[in-house]
Amino acid sequence: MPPNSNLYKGSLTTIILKLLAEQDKMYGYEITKKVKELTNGQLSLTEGALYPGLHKLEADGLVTVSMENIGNRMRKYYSLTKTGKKEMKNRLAELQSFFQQMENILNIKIA
Amino acid sequence: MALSKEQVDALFLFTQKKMVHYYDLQTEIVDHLAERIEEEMLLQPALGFETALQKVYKDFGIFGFAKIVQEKEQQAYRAGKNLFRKELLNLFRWPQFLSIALILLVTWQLVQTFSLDVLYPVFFALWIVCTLIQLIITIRRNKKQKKKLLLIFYQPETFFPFIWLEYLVIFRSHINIYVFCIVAVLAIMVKIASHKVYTNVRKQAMRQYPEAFA
Repeated sequence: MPPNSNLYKGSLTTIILKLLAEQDKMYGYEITKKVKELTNGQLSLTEGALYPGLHKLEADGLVTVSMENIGNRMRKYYSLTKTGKKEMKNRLAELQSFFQQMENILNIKIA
Repeated sequence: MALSKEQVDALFLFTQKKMVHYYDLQTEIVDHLAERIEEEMLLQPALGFETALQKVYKDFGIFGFAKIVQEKEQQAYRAGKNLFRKELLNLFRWPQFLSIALILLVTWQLVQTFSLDVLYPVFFALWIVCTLIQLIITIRRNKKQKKKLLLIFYQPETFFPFIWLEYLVIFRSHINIYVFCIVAVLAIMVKIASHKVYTNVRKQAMRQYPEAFA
């Protein structure tokens, strides 16, 4: 059964931060493809959610951008800033603690 | 199969028609559309560029690019505000604080030498002239620019408009030399911070999108 995408909404920026931490730099569509690949196609990140998420992280100074010419067009790459790396660790710790609480409350084993 | 230059240009036109007027945002959306179209055309070579584009555009939902543009405008405004706050706070740090202390000292000397009835209108006039010069330079630079960039759209006077001057006029009778010194120094700090933000953001924009300034 594909998961309810609403469950992911609050964690969207955390997902982006984590992927950027692992890949050094990524562009928008690459992030969408990576999420699809990691969830075996069960979760698809819509364009309407991905870009506002990325732009919010950019405005908060958590990611920085660089442009690269890829033939006949420019590509915008995102990478984590120092603050972004710290924030990613904090958010992962928060998420871990949240999972722990959910396990306790619902009496289920999460992975 | 990579899209041709003409097809990429057609994508820029398409985003323009769909109300994406900022070049920095267009570039990102065009790259996304182009890669998706290339994938679609690889899977179904008979599909054709136009059909593939319509198919990919559908995935952006019923509002198309509108949500992305709206959110990006809000985030650009927030980013500008954050940068402005950072630059303003930086002025309180060493060694920038030295110049602020010097400005305060000069202002203090001025209020000791001249009456507030003279200094008040002079300060107002200077502030307004400085702001107008800043705005004229910004408008002329933006006109020279080949493409509109959201990155520098909100600079530099968006965060401190003229409204606060109105309060200074209303509360004129309550303002003594101490309040005047603080207000004058703060106003100068605001000018310095907004100028720094504008200069830095413009430099960043020129580095990231040189074609928009060519």
